[in-house]
Parts: sequence; structure tokens; C-alpha cells
Amino acid sequence: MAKSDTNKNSAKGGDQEPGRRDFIVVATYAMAGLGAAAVAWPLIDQLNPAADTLALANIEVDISKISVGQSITVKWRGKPVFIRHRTADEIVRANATNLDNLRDPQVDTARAEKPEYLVLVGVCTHLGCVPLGQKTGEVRGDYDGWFCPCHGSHYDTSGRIRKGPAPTNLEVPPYSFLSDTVVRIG
Amino acid sequence: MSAHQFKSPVVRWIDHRLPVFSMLHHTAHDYPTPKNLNYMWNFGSLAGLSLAIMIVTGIVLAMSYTAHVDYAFDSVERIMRDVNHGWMIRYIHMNTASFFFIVIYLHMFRGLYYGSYKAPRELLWMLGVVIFLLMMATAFMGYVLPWGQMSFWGATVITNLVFGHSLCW
Repeated sequence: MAKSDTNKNSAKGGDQEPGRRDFIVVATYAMAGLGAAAVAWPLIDQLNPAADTLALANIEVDISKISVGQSITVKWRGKPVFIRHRTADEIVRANATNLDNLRDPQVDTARAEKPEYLVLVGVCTHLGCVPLGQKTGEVRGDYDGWFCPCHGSHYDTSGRIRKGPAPTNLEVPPYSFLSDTVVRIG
Repeated sequence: MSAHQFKSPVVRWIDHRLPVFSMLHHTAHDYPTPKNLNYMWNFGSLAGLSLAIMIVTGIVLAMSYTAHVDYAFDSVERIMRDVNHGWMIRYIHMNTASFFFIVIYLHMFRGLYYGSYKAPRELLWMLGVVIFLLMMATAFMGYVLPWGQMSFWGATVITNLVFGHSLCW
């Protein structure tokens, strides 16, 4: 009897242990699955943000040229960002405010990592206009911060809402100081 | 015996109303492979595979391409540099086009050499000619899209060849 029934190379009816053929079949299907995933991944990943989009996600700003009392506006992710080099008087007034008077109470130290530089997203939290107060000579509102001309929101020297229809303070974007003169936003 | 009974009730429901599954089963499962075929018969299915790759990569490229005379070339550069795996998808697309043509010429050679165009396959051959012309037209249009030097001058030459005065009119 050349071919005995002790055929260990394939399982029949489930009562024999898995053999070499089953192993090869399972391994082949597994490799085919991995291959399909390897082919599909680049086609799906190309939908993710491209390198140029990611590059715009963060910007580095040189703040060394901003003199005391001056403000600059930079574009970050399509939005204006106000960077103000505050005067000592502005900082004192920001800290001295009674939080009970604020619609959206926040201490100034929570809004400015270094008190001399205030970094805010320049979009009014009411309906999205860009508040005035960046350029010298522009109206700064009753609290010497920013004034939104669209519906009359007044922000103070810490960018907090004081008067007018805006519900919350001007947003503080994520930022960090890479050095004393360079701040990275985003 | 010709009727194959499908196991799935869903498949049976569909097939009873629109016999696509029966047709596929008859064409691809029942029909035995002739004993005299050789590897030259692979090129037809390879051409089908190339077409599938061209469609998939082409759709993906179209997601990042800008179809405007001033922006097209830059959009292709962006695909090459910025889009994740864009360089690979573009190279796959353009090289598969070349492979598509290589495979089709071998496929046509098989047809001529082995008389695949003879009765009862005349209509099949004629449809193949039509597909070949469509392929050339599609490849030509795709080549124009990056709007580079080769695109522009290739478009100029072919347009003048077809609609110019070099041929008989």
C-alpha cells in the first residue's frame, strides 16, 4: 500500500490536526491580505494633509522688531493673529482687573506666557469680524485693547471681552517661544 | 446540465431577475480553458489589469490636479513633492500607461499570429480595434494634462497630423 490513510498533509473533516497544506493556504491568504493593505495604504494616505499644507500649520514669527506698545498682525492657518508688545501700564491694568467684572473671566497670566507679548487670534468672537486696534491711530475701544467696528465689542489690554455682544475673550492660539525673539504659533 | 444552483438566497433572487451571476459562472467557471493556449494568452487579462490600475491611480491623481492652463504644471509638481506618496502614484500611472501599450501590442500580435480574428471572432476583433483607438485617444489626452513642453508640442503635432494638411485632405 503506497498511499496509506495516515495522510497528515491535509485535514479532512476536521478530525485530523491541521497539516502543511492548510498552513500554506492560511499563510498565503495572510500575505495576500497584507499585500492588499500595502497597496491600499498609499491610495488612502494621499488624502491626508500634504507636506505644503502641514508646513502652513505652524509659523515662526520674529518678534524682535516690535517696539513697546506696537502690534503686528500675521497670517496663521488663514486667520489673522495679533501680536502686541504691551507697555508696562497695559500689563498692570490687565492684572488689576476684577474678575467679577468679566463676562468670560480669565486671569491675564493664563492668557500670556510672557506678559510683555500678547498673542491672540484676531477674530471677534461675536460674528467673526477683525477688530481694530492694531495700527497706530486706530480706535482701541473703551478699555484700550481692541474694538470691533461691526457690532461694537470692546476688548481690554488682555483681549478679554468687556462691553458689547461678543460672548468670549479673543482666542489665544497655541504658541511657544523658541527663543526670546522667535515665537512659534501652532 | 446548464443550470447551476447558487447557495446564497440573495444571489438566487438577483440571478432569477437578472441572470448576471449565471452568465459569469458560465463564462468564467464552466467554460474550460482550451488545451492549446500558451502564455501569449495572458496579455489580454494583463491589459485588463493595467486598465484597472490606470483608473484607480488616475482618479487619485485627479483629486490633486488642477485643470487650468496656469496651474496644471504646478499642481503636478505639488503631487510629486507634497502629496503623500504622490510621486509613487504618478509614476505608477505614467509607467502603467507604457506597460498598457506594450501588453496591448503583444496581445494584438497574438491575435494576428494565431488567427484570433477569424470566424466566428470577427466582431470581437473589430471591437478590439475600437478599444485600441479609444486607448490611444485617452493616452494622448492624459499626456497633455501636465501641460509641460512635451504635452504642448505633442498636442500640437498630433492635432496637426490629424486635422492638418499632411494627409490626403
